[in-house]
Amino acid sequence: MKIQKIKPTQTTKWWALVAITATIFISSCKKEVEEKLQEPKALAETTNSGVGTEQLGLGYQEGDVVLGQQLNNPYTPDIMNTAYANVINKGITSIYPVDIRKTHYYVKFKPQTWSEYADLKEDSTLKLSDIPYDYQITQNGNGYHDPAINDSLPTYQYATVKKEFIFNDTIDYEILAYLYIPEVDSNLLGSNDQNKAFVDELLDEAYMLTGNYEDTLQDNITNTHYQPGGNIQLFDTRLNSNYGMEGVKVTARRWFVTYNANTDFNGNYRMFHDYRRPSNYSIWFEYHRFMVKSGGVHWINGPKQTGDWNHTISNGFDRFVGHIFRAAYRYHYKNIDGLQRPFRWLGNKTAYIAKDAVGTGVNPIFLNEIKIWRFRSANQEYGSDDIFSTTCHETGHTSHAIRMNTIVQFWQVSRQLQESWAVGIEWFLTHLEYASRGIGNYGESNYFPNNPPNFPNSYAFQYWSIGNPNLSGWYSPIYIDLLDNHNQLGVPYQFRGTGSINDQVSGYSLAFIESELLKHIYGHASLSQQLKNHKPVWITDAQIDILLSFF
Amino acid sequence: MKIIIRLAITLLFCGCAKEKNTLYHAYFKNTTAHTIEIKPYFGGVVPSEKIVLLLANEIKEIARGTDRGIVGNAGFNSQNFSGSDSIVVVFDNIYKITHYFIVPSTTAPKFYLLMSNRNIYNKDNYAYSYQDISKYQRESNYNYEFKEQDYLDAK
Repeated sequence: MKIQKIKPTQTTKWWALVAITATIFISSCKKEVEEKLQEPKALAETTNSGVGTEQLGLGYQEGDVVLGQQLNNPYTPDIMNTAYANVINKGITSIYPVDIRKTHYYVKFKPQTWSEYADLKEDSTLKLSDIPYDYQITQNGNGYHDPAINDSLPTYQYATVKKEFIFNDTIDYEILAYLYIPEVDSNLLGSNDQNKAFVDELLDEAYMLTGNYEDTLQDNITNTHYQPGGNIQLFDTRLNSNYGMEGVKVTARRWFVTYNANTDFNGNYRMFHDYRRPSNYSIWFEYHRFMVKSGGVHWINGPKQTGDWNHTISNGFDRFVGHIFRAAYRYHYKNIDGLQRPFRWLGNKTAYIAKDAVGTGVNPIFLNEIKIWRFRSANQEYGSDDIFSTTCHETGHTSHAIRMNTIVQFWQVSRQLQESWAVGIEWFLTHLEYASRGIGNYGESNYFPNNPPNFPNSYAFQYWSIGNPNLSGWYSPIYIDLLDNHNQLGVPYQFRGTGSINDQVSGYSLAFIESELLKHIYGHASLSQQLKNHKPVWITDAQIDILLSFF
Repeated sequence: MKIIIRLAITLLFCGCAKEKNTLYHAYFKNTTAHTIEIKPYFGGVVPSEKIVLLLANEIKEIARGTDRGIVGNAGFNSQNFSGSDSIVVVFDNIYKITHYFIVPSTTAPKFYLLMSNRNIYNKDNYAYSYQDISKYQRESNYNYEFKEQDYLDAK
């Protein structure tokens, strides 16, 4: 049912170009936005609701969600009025006055570009879905793209909004239906949900009128209350085990009402609201200041069921996305030992683009997009810690650019110091993550397991040497060597040769370098000067000169 | 306007950190007429899945991985042998010679030390070659050939 459609104003290509250029300049010149670190909200203690799981949906598999037939909408004011009349005729009365009216819109947003999609995602009041709410799902999956839209463009976004919602008229949208949602009408429910029995009768009647029998209490044997919750696990190839998928958003939607919760360190989640009927569970790989995208924000559409939903992300593209998420989550919100959070200029979200192809990573710096690839070569996936490490590396570039205040200044930093800073960041954060998961010496100079990790995380990259003078040597352990107390000179490394750098320097911290020195460092001369001006008491200028001579 | 466009394009390219990387592979090749079994020891234990068996003239991959940047002869990490204490090479299921990374207090009767030009742990004993796939990617290969002299050394 199409009720209203508003077209956006068209902008010319020239104006778009001017806007992009202006954004770059503003981004470059804008003083760093100070933001108080946002800690994850305290989570409700996870307890088993005691309600047996009744799974109504199909088993999960990666791939497109398949929609079945369109369902009749039980939440229109017309249907609700009819349902109310039928309930009254049955002699059931409400404790409080019933005022059926248009309280919400069921909306289909039609972003024409990824920029418009990003604008929608910046609105934290919107709970968007790629999947329309009023269709049967005949196959669960992790993607859906409306067949009418080119794959390279964002698909329609569905949402329930209050009637007071102020639409951004530059983004096309269509109001699909006016809604009255009794479950969220506090006047009807009364304090402590005293009128819930009447609301349940009203809903059951509306569902029966529209043929949605599976949503009725009469059709659900286990119709006791449950708080949606459960546990999400992620498989890690380094640990060779599952562990809690921390930070992801899990939603439980019933028609036009969606509740959500974020998982804790152990992967547990619990929502603060009750349902009695089956709800559609989903996992969303986004947090306040970042999102992991595969097209739009990546999600897993779980089952429609009552009771807890537990899910293990064991392999495939979902697992790849899961490890990008947990790296971004650590960098943005968890312990990083005093490093700067990589929050973007102007408060924009960082979008991590999960690429299901061969490659490594790209960070265009001035855009809010970081690309991470899944495969190192055909049919060979990166390990979990490799994905984590690369995500930190790329995010480290962003944080470095933020620290330099402008992109123009970041651009003046030598490529070796840009990349070596990112190497230091990935090494440091990946160590923190795996130490917290039980591998205490992960990434350190004595870490060389029988399935060693890629990148700088085996032997702490101490085997590196400038090597062939024709090579750039961009990716070096120079910042690692400022931290560690390991001198690799003459030390043999299995299959990697003998350490050639005379590293007598130790005692700096990445957090100190970042906060006090980094924005003054552009090349070896300024690096040397900054290190000497702020050296630990036991380090001499000569030792710093010796170390830097190897890079 | 032209200045703005040029500046925007310049920033677009110069500000973009596209990572370079090097894919590496390492191989064992048996150039002898003997069967060779290569057994890595981890704390005195040889995991069966780590053992490499080479028939005469056979080639097997023992390492594949990725390094950041376009790197030269930087070596590799092996899925089979990295992290091991020593590697025992057995010819025809009879003659053994041990390759040491760190020399123990008591050695096997026949062995190669790390600095030997036949020691498996020493990357310089592998023939190195590479191919630049693109401006952003290099593919490196490391090849170690078992020769008749190795058999004679073990015998």
